[in-house]
Amino acid sequence: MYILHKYPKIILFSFIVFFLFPALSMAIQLTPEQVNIGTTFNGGTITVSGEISQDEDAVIQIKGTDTEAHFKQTGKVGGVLWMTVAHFSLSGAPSAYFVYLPETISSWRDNKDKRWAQLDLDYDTLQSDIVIEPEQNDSAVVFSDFLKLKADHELYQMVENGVHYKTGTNGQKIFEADIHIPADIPRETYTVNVLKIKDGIITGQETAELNVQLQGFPLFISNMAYNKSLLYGIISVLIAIGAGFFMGMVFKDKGGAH
Amino acid sequence: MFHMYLPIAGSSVNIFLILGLGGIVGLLSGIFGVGGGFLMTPLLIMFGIPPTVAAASDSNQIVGASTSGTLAHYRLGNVDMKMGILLLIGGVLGGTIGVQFIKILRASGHADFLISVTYVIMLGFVGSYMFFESLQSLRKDKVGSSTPDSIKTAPVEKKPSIFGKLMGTLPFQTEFVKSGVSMSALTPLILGVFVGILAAIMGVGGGFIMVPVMVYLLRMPMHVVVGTSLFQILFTCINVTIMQSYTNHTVDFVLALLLLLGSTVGAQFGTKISKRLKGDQLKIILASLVLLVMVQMLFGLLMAPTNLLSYAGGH
Repeated sequence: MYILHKYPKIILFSFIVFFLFPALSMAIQLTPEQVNIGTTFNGGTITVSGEISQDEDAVIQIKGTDTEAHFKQTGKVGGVLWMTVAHFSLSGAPSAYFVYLPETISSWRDNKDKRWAQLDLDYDTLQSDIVIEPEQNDSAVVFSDFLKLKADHELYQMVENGVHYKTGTNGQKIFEADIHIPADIPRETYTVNVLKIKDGIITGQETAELNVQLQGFPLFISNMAYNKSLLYGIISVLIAIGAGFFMGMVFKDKGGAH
Repeated sequence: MFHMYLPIAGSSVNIFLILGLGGIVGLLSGIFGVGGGFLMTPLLIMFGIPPTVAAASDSNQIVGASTSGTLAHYRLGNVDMKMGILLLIGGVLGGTIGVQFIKILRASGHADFLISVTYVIMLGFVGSYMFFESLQSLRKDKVGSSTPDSIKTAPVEKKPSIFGKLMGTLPFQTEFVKSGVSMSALTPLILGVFVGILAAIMGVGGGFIMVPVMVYLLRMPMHVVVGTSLFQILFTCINVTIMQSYTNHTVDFVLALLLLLGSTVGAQFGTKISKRLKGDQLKIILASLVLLVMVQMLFGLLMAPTNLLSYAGGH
C-alpha cells in the first residue's frame, strides 16, 4: 500500500505497458532457464520464445564473452612441408556466437539482399573487434580459418529458418527457436538478444542472460583442479597407481599375467 | 547416453570410445614397455580434446597403465631396478636441459621445423634399424634351428662397438644382475640424459627412444627392457602429472580415469602377449609400429591440413 501512495504514476505506467500494450513488453522466455552441465552432459537444447507483432520478424542472437585464445598457424615451408609457421593470440571475438533467423530473413541472406547487410549480424561484423598479436599480414585468412575452427566445434552457428512462428494472443505472434547447445560450450554467462526486425530495420531489442554452469561431479572435479591443484595432482596419481595395483591383483588372482 | 562430460577438457566423450582407446594403448604398453603417449595424445586431439589437456591427462593415465604393467613384469622378474633408477635420474636431468634448449629454439623461431624433422628422422632411423636387425636375427634363428646339431658351431661372441669400448673406460663399473650386463653406472646415466633431452624436445615421454637405447646400447635382454622401461616411465609420468596439475591445471581426471580403466586391463593382456613372444618378434613388431607413426607424421608434413589454424599447446 505504501508503494501505491508513494509512486502512483509508476504503477499506472507499468499497468499500461504490461496489459494494454503487450507488444512493447516482449519478454524472452528461456526453457530451461540455464544450462547445467552434469556428468553425462553431451550438449543440449534451449528454447527461446516470446511474442512480437504480426508485421515483425524476430532474430535470436546469442553471444559469449570476449576471450583471448592462443593459436598456431600451419603453412608450407620450402614449398614441400606443411608445418607450424606462426604462433599468435586472438582476442576480441566472442567465445560463442549463435544467430537464428526466421524464414524471411534467411531468404535475404541467401539472396545477398542489402537488408541483410544492414542488420550487421553476419560473422564479418565481428572481424573489426578482433585483435591478433603479434600482428599477421594475412589477418583476413586467419579470421576465415578462425571461423571455420569455431564452426567445427559448433560454437559459431548461423542457422537459417531457425525461428518459427505460431499464433499468439491479442493479434500477436509467438516466435520460438530451439537453440543447439554444443557439448564444447564454454562455461560462462551468455547474452541472449532477441531483435525485432521491421522493413529491414531493427526496431527493438530484448536481452536476457543464459548461464552455462557445472553441477555435481564435474563441478567438484573442476573446483579441486583449480582451487586445490597440488592435492588434485597427488590424488590423481594415487588413484592411477591404485587402479594399476588393483588390476594387477585381479589379473594375478585369475592368473592372467602369468 | 553413453557420454561423459570432461570438466577440464570442457567437452564430452563417448565412454566406450575412450575405454577402447585406453585398452589398445595399454596393450601396446604391456607388450613393448612404451608409455604410448606418442600414439594416444594425437588420437585424443583428433577426438576434440584440447592438446594441452590431452597430453597432461595422458600422463596421468600412463601412471596407472605403467603401474599395472610394471607389477606384472616385476612378478616375471623383468624389472632391473638399479638400471631403471639410473636411467630415471638421467632422464630427469636431460628433461630439464631439453626444456631450456627448446625455449632457446622457440625464441629463434625454428623450433617447430626442428621438432618435426627430428621426430621423423629419429623414428625412421630407430624403426628401420630395429626392423632389419630383428629380421636378420629371426632368419638366423630359422637357419640355426634347421641345421643339424653336428654342424652347429659355438655361438660367436659379439665384437664390442666403439661406443662399448668408450663406455668400458668409464669409472664406477658395476654389475646389473637382472640385465646380465656389466658396465659403468655412468653409462645409463648419460644415456638417460640423452633420451631426456630428446623427449623434452619432441614433447613425448621417451619410451620409444629409451627401448632401443636399452636394447642396442645397454645390451639388455628385450624382456627386461620392457619391464625396466615401464618402471622408469611410471616415475616420469608421476612427476609430469603432478607438475601439470599444479602449474597448468590441465589434467582431466575424468578423462584419465576412463583411459585408465581401459589401459590397466590392456597392459595386463599386453604383458601376457609379451611373455609369449620372442625378443626379436617383439622388436620387429615395435619397429613396425614406430615406422607406422613415422609414415603418419611424414604424411602430416606433406599433406595440406583441412584447417591451417589450430589451438596451440600439446605435442
